[in-house]
Amino acid sequence: MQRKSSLSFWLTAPLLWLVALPALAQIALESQVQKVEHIEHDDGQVETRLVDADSVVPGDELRYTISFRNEGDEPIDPNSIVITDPLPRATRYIDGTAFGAGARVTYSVDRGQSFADPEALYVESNGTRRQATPEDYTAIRWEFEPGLEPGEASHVSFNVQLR
Amino acid sequence: MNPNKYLARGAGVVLLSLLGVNAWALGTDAGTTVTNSVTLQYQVNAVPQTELEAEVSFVVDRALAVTVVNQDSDVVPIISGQTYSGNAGIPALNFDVTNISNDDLDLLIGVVDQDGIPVTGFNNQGPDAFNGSNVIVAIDTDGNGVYDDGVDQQLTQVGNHFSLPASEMTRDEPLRLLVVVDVPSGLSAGDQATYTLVAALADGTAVITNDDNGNATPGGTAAPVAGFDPTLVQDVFADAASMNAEDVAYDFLGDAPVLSQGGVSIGQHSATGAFVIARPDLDISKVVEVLWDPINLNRYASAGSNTLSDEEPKAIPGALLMYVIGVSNDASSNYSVSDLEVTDELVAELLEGNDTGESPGDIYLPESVTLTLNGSPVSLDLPATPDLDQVTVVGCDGSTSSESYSGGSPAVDVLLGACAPGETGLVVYFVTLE
Repeated sequence: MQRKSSLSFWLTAPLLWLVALPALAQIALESQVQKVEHIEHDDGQVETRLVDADSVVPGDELRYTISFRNEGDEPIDPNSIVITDPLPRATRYIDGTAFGAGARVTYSVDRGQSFADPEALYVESNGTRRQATPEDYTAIRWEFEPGLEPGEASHVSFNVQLR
Repeated sequence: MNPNKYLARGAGVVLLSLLGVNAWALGTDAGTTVTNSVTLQYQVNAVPQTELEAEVSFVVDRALAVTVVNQDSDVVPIISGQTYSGNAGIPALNFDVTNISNDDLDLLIGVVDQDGIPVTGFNNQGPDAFNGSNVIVAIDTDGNGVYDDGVDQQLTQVGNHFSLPASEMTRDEPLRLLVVVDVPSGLSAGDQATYTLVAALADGTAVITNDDNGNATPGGTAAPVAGFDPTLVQDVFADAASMNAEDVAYDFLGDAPVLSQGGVSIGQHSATGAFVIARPDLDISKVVEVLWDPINLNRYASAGSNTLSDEEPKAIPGALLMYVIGVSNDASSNYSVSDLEVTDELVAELLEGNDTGESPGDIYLPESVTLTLNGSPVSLDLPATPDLDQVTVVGCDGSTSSESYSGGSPAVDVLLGACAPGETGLVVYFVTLE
């Protein structure tokens, strides 16, 4: 299932033609979920398949893919694209699965109030402060260094397990 | 049958799971909507643009699974002729049944009589088998592992099987079920009766015949795999295969056993236990010793000592003889016995008790005697100062009592009481040779 959200800045008030025009940039953003199957063959090789998430039960592994495309006329600034994804409730993040080409990936353990590299994340557990584990993550953030030219697309993804 | 997405896709491949059989135990409830919302911020020409947002959702489907685990460490001893109606403490087969689905579900329980086939890992008896009658399944309400009529709640019988409503269970918590039978009379020790308990997922008293993933329960027909609809709660049989070959399946539609091992994703699970007719391994042995005669006097140097006196009293008229009868329930026996009664007849030449004319205090008893019981020598301690005119009984529990001779035939007729495996009791009495 996917849902598209887009925003355009089409200015129609004549008075505003006198001021600097906002960029005619438009990004299409899509989010998709699929189920991940790991299949071991007789020779020991493990194949990973992505299938429709039409039968999803606790214990299943899911992959979320967030795709975005510059459908406008202006390039998107380098070092400006930031994607933030609070992990869905009833899921746990699977370590090492966050992907985003050219992006710095950081994580949150406080539902997105702050983000940091894994080694800098700590949580309180039974009155004791300890280093966070992937199970503690509550949100992921991708900060892209490259910009996005008109017509160019990119995506990020991560895997979770349904609790 | 369509390929099962969760467990295999045809020969030669196995679908790996992140978790084991209990992956969905305590899992997210079926019907829960899981939504992922993502935001994207960006700038154009250093001007921040309005944040974008997208989301995707799906509904958690029903993972249907139940587990059955036999909780008996071995075959369960039972007595031939035993019936359960109106009785307490009846030996039963113990099974733990757990609904590990992510939804509350009713269960159907089938019991398969498999004659006396061996159970994996058990000290099986047989090969002779017996069939119990009036088979029931009960919840072990008082948690003592045996059936207590009027206390443990019997499941409602529906045809040949039983109904276990969801209201009797807590999801992910084992429920102890007891399989109880009436046992025919006249059976031999070691006869075995093997029963498999099968639990199937149901809606009310109707078995769930198929899921939306191409699987069917025994006797059911698989339906086509449901189309892609993330808003619909679909059923997925997620049960593991039963563990051993004797853990067979049950066709709840035809209400009859399926005598092959329960497989994966069939909406049911099974385990097996067995009764065996109890084999109390009793042995009895008897020794006699001349303690005193009027010429040689005492065999022993003093009372309560095994030191001999260097005399050899003979069985001549006027001699006092000691009889010791030992009764043992062997340690390897699998059942306690009760109401043990020992009888012994005296020949006419033997007079009951001390009729020697000698003062009892001048006739010395040894500290112990040795008998062979269950193939091994057993040293039995004797009472220090028994009444030579009474029959002394030392019960298996170690208690000592004095009993009179019966006054009839047999002359010795005493109750030894209960005797657990590994325990020994004894009877001691004295006679005078006429």
